[in-house]
Amino acid sequence: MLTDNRKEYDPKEMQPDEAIKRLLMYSKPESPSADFTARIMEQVLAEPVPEKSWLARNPWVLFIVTSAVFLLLFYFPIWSLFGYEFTPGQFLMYYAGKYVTTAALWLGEALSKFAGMGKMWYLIPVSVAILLLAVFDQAFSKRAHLKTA
Amino acid sequence: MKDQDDIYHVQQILAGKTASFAYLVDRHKDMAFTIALKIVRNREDAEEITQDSFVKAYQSLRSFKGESKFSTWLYRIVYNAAISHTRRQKHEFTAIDESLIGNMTEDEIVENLDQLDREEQSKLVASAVDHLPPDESALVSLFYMQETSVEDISRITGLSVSNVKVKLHRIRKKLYDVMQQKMVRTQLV
Repeated sequence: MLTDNRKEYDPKEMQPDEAIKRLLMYSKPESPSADFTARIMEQVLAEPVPEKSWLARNPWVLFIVTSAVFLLLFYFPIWSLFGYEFTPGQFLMYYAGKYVTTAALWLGEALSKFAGMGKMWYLIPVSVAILLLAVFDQAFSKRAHLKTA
Repeated sequence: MKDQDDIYHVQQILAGKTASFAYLVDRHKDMAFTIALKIVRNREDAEEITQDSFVKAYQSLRSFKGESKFSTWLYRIVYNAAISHTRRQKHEFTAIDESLIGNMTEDEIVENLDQLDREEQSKLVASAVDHLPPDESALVSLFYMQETSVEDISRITGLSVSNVKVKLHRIRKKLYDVMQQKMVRTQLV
């Protein structure tokens, strides 16, 4: 018999509703096919749990080495490499300047290519619009699916 | 105790005793498969998803920190894989036919159910569960069959605890509606 405690049911307490629980009591979880475990073990035994790399197990080594290199770069008074002489901090400034210049040059080149497209320039906003539409479509269909689910 | 067993076997696997994984598979395969099946509604797909999830769990076993139960961690992998699968498949679900829902109270529904024998009751409720959208169907299995706590369901599904509570409350109402609808259809009332 389905005697139950549903009248005392309070979602804030969230105890499983006894009537539904009793009805579902006889529904056993489903089982996969008989050789399920064997198939998984066959797959698993072929590839042991990936070992963590030595560096991943000892991340402090990476920290110490990086810190040491930075300290050397900043505090070693004057040092030379391939004939170049560096003073404190100059090494980093040199490379920072080099990469900023490269990035600026690349950006300038890319912009000039777009400008040289002439009549084809309208393809850019059209492509962006198509891309945005696809993104919105995906977002809305996911939202609709979640609502249905 | 069973959860401690899981942790022990995880440690064994990480120590190189891969065969210990068979214990974890045997212990959790039924519920993992049920979650996948409730969501994808196809035995072959559910089995493939469950198998892939177990292999994925094995491969990422080092990332299992033991902050939650192993089962919670595993079911989350299965749940996410199954939900992703349904999103790709874009299943259509039958909505509840409102016209067939009468004005019976839950007590009346239960009284009518009492007239059925146990097997018929089980069939009716199982069919009502299958009528729910996939994620809700999985929630019923976890909450009522596995007696998973709301907090653990929240970890498995990625929903907030309050959202899980609201969903379970709505699911309960829906189940009574679907059961009533089915009773009307089969002229049990």
